[in-house]
Amino acid sequence: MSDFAQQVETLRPQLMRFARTQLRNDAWAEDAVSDTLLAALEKPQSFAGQSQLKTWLVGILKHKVVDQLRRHTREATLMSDDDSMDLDELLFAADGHWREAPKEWADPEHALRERQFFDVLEACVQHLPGVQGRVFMMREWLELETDEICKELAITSTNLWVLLHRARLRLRDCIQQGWFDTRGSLTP
Amino acid sequence: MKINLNCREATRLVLEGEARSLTLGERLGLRSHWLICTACSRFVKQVKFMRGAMGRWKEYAEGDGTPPER
Repeated sequence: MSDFAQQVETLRPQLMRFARTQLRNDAWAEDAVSDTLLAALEKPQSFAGQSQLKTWLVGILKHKVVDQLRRHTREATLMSDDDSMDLDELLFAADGHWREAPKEWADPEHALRERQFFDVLEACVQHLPGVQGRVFMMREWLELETDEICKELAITSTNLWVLLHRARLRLRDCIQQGWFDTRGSLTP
Repeated sequence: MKINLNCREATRLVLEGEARSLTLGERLGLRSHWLICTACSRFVKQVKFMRGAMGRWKEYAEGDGTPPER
């Protein structure tokens, strides 16, 4: 195996992790990563070396992830009960007040310097129900425009807003429970 | 334009603000709500923080940022 192929292959686990977070389906993630490695090995000359190899591969992978979503649109947008649960109902009383008000987060800047905080964040994103997690990552990581996401997944913009809204509420809740309720309050 | 937002409405607007620019009226409504509501003032700060955290995570996961020390 050439040096280049070797280096590319070493990055496979990191690419898999990235693809799994995005796609939440191991088989699709495998395909996206294989397509990426194949494309990289077929055109090593297009890696000009100005950026890190990993950054270049992630750039290719993003396209392959979208390809997978497009190929599996129907399964990728199949809502679970969790996806369609009415969070507003759970979080707010009939008069529109919080049932349980968000707590104060102690020293959030400190969290951003802690590796473990990012482990919690990643776990929280992975715990989002399937469709919410996919659209959230398309928006936040792939940085796709909302109309592009609607087109790729064949959903309406209203659907998309609702999904993103729920994803962010859940994520906030999970971060509070997973970090600030415990470690965050212990930091100086 | 609605001035007296409740928490549910304020929350929805804050989250919509992640995806589109809010109108002047909406921003005014939020500002006046935050003056009287600690919970929603916290909420909006936390949403902004999450946006920053996603950006940081992405930077290092994609390779051009250094992961924070463990």
